[in-house]
Amino acid sequence: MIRSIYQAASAMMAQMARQLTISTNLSNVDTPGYRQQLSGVNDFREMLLSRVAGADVRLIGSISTAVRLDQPELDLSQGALVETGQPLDLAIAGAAFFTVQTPEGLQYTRDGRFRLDEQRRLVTADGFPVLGEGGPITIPPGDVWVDPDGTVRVNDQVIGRLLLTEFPADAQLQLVEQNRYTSDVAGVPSQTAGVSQGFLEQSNVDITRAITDMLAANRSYALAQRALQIADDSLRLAVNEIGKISA
Amino acid sequence: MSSLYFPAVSGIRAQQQRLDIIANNLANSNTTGYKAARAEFAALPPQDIRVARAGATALGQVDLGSGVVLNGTSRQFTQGPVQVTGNLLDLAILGSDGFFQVTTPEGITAYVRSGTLSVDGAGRLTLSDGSLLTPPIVIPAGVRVNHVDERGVIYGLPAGATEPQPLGQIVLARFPNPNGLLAIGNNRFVATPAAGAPELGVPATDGWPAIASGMLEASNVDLADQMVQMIEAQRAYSANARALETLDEMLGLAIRTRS
Repeated sequence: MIRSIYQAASAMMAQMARQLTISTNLSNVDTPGYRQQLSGVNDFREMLLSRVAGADVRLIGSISTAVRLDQPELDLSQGALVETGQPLDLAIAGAAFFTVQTPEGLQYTRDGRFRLDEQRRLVTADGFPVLGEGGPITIPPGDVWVDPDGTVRVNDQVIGRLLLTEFPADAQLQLVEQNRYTSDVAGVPSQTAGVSQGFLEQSNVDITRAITDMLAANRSYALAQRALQIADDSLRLAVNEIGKISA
Repeated sequence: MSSLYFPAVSGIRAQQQRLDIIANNLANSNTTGYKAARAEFAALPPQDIRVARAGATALGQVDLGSGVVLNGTSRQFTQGPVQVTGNLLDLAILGSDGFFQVTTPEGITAYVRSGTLSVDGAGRLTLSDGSLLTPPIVIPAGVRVNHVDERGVIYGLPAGATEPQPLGQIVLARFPNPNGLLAIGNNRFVATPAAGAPELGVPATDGWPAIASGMLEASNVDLADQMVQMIEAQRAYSANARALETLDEMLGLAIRTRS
């Protein structure tokens, strides 16, 4: 009986956490390069129940004791490219990331809102160098062109090539700050991804999906709450009413 | 508990700020030399929420996001459309990488894109807000401005003369990072360490943009684009409000469980 209370409560916690993931996604619908987090709810490992009466042990069946929220997974699908006309707004088409040098080591981003710092290096919005194949890229005055393969040219002279990093499918990417991610495994330079100059990649949050997921989370939560109430009522009956000696 | 509400609240706040920026752009769609502003959002790093995890008796952690933050605004320093005014001292910069250098009445060196010049009582070339073109150019009394060439040289015709004579040279300034400039109102910007040191140059030489006389650079605000953004922001606002409402309903249910 107590088990059903725990189960219902764990379902409520899981749905609340799911709702939190969804609202985080929704708050970032306009964050360029943001990757939505997808979360699922899963059973705890099932266990076998058996009835023990003296020497007589009988198997009853399996039961799951609770549910939990899976570690949210990053949805790495492509976001829409929107034209901005800014020469230093860059977008990646494909599965790669821009490589950024920070004091905490290399970080990776899909957010291509770049600018020049006072030394004319290509940097992120908060001032960390965006790496090329040969380190930070310093851009002399003139017209900047970025080719689809990431080659940066100024007045038709090749300055460098952006280092686009790709990760294996099972890499765990972790959002750190300013739309940048870290990875638990080393990436490799991408051969397939393309760069579009004057475009930004929008967040890949799917509003329709988020709203429907939200409805589902809300209803599942209500259902679990109802189950909790019923378990509580049954327990109350068991404790207070069964075997009551009527006056 | 309040951290549960935070992502949705941050989303609502972000969209509100975005709407403010769009409104300001729309209000300046007819301001000479105005550069559209853009809201720059960034995702906040995840917070740890403790929930029970499979296969473990101890509590584990699930990384959930924690919303969005407005980093600030950036200016879109793209060229605005150039419009013919016919006034000789209306000057437009034909290229996005350059500013006129002026000294404001308060004595600050500022940088502007709009070249609506006029001659003040002392013959100096000034902007409508009283900022003086720097280095100063003085039109002597009795001299009529004849033309301004693409290199920014101002020619005047003294009374009785037939050949125009050069009166002064307009210089342009540019910055490694124009987005680091600080807007101080009236379409003026001042240099900051983030913008880098200004580099001065003569128009239409060595890759510097040319000057066009008798023309003004209109605002680069694209009305259609701003309208679309406004609709987007409204929808995103509603979606975040909905998330907040749903979360609130869920917490309400939890609280009412034993009532």
